Amino acid sequence: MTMLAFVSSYTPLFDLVLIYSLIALSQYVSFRGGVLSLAPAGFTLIGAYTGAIMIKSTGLGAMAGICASIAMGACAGLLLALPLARLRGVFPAIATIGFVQIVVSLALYAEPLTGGAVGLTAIPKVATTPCLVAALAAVVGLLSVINRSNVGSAFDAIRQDVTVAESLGIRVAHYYRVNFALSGAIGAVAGCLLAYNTYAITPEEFGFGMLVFAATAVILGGRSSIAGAIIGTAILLVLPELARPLHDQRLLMQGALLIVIITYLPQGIVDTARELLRQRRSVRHPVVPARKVAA
Amino acid sequence: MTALELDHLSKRFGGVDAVMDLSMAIAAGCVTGLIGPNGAGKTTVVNIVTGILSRSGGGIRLATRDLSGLKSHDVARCGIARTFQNVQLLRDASVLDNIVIGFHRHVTSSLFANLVGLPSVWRERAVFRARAMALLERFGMTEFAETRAGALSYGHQRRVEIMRALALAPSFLLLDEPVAGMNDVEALEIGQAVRQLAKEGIGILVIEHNMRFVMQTCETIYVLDGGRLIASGSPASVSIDPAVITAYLGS
Repeated sequence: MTMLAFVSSYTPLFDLVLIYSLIALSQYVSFRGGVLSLAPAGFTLIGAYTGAIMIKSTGLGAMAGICASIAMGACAGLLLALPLARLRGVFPAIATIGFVQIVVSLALYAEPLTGGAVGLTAIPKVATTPCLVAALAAVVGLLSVINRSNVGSAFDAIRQDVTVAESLGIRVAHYYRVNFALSGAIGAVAGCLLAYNTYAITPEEFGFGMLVFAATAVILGGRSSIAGAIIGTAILLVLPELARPLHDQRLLMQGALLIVIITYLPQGIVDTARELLRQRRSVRHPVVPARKVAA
Repeated sequence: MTALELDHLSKRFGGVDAVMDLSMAIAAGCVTGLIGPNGAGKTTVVNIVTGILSRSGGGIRLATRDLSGLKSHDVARCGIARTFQNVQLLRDASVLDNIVIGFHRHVTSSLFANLVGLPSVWRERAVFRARAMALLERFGMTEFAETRAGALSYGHQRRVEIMRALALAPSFLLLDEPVAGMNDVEALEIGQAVRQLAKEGIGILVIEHNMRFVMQTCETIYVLDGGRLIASGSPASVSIDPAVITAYLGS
């Protein structure tokens, strides 16, 4: 097999890694901001259908479809944040599972618009590999800016402890809304690109399986870094390709990995590696001893 | 002189009176102590003042402003900062980053500017970092700026928490057991720092079990027992008050 044939035979897989990385990043945003939301699968569905319907029934082109998806995803996130902003702890997770079920059912029932269970087909394949790389790079860039900004600081404080964040004057409900809108927009971009890359979409692609995938990818990779979400996604998608017997048991493998990781590597791969690196460094350069206060 | 005043404050949890008819004043520029046996309701008072708990009765005033019923973040924005009984820092973030979070109240850049990273945001963050460094210098911890907060000793973590609260530029600072777990030398240093802050005009409330620290640091002391105020006054008068001695030692 020539190099070119080898590469091109893996292009679909590579594309999938890029798209699913975006879904995982939508999940990462939630966790990073201290919101235990499992809504990304729902946002992805909204983005996929918005994009597909836009490109098929209006003549406005792919860019307009992507923009419409972003707007729809962000609005869905904002709407979802309204009732959820007062929920704390594990409760948003349960409520957002409900949200995913609602959007999946809507996609099933709104047949004239969404094609029902058959879904939408013959979507033009406009999202080529370079487009996907550019989209992922843009989102990674956006998130790394946000992480270093005042919004990132507020997210950090909220993730640590809501009470402490409030005691520092941080309006938690406001940042919940920002968080849901961001997660919604990123999830919707992922969905739109999925529709523009895979020719057809059906509602059940975006159900419980995707919800578990997004959470697993982020937990596996590591919750505190952008790279974690991407590495987690790559492992979850590439592993079944490397070991063919795993392919038919994808969901089983995902579930088992989730249990193993949360038990033995609760910080995920990237965060654990970072911690090990830091320990090794601090052995070489120990923390300097305390100096006296001169107040 | 402005003061943070609690006016006949009370709090019931179900059938339990955690705080009963408590009136006290925390004056600007003074260190006020709030002491009492475990379960006396001291932390409850701070939680009510900072809006974490709702009150069952009474009111809270800052100068002429009514704070009762305000949300926790709005109380902070009125210039009332606090620390917690259990140290609450971002363990994985650097000491500097932890303090920078405290400057959130002073953020003027818009949400949009922060999302896309406009230069004004980075200028503002640079100012916050410089001011955080000034706080670190003041507390003699400059060399720990880049250290992970979780790697610090307990006493240093407490100091970082105080610095983060000071980043709000508060007019009142409520310290919940600031020297718990510290040795005498460290406690003495914190005491000096607290008195210095009061000299600069900040009104400080200290909840503390370390009696030597309280007696040396506070100008006025309020004593709670079972949610009720049993004594108040100067350290000298409180320490010989029969009701206080009974509450601490039993009759």
